[in-house]
Amino acid sequence: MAIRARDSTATARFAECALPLLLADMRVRHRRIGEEAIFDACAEAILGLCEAPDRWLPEKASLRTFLWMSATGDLKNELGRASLRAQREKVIDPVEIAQLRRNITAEAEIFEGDKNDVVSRYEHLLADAGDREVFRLMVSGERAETAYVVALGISLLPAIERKRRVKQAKDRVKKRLQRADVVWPTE
Amino acid sequence: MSDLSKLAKIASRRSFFLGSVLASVATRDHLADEALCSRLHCSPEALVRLRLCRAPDVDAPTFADDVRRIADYCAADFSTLLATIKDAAISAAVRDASLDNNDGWLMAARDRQDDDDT
Repeated sequence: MAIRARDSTATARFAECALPLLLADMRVRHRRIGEEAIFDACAEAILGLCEAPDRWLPEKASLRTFLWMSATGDLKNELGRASLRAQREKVIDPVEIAQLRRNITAEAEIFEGDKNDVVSRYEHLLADAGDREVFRLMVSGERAETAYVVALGISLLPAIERKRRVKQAKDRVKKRLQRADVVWPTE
Repeated sequence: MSDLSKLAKIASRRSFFLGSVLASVATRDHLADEALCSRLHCSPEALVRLRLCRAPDVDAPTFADDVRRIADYCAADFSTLLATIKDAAISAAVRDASLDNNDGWLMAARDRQDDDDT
């Protein structure tokens, strides 16, 4: 497999061939599931294999079967998480929700409003363009570390260093906003 | 948007892929996809393929060969692509150095305060 041989173009060639086949397989087998969830599961299976090709053992399953199993596993996990979220939302009493809402500080409530408005209101507090991008991602609720890595332009650093830089940037943004008396909502 | 370009956009959020390097350049220079294509002298289809390639290691001895292979496969301009990837690496290094310096400043300020207190 060319991906294992670290050929830089192999991932693109593989993705181009595998995506239509996997999407077709998944659409046939999971007819009741939404297109977006199916696409995300296929994307995770293909990109995940590009990043860690050793996960596929040719003696155990064909590549097509492996991808299908991997995408189906991701899909089931995601559906499980979605169902759990729905259950949690159901069990909270509406009165309890109203009480929780009252406890949120005025500034924190702003963060629940129009996110673009929040960004334009506070981004002038951040001098650095990278910090402003990190702030936008934080306000939008982005949790994936890779989004912050891209925003900070540190994708070529080792993983441990990237993690440290992302945490450092998030803390810096929070601290700058706190200095201007902006209360960051508790996570 | 085609399925492959949607996949390429997702890949651009993962540091393993060249898409993340191109995304950092696009964010820094405020470039939309069209402007990025224009900078790399490539078509939108080539940009999708570029994003899905593995990010070459700038410190590897095979770096230039890797970039040439990518440029040939994606029908992109080799020298522009090479310069763009190097530029992204330099930007990342400068940014890291400036962050380190800021840390140093804060540490120095703290030390000074401690000295004053004693």
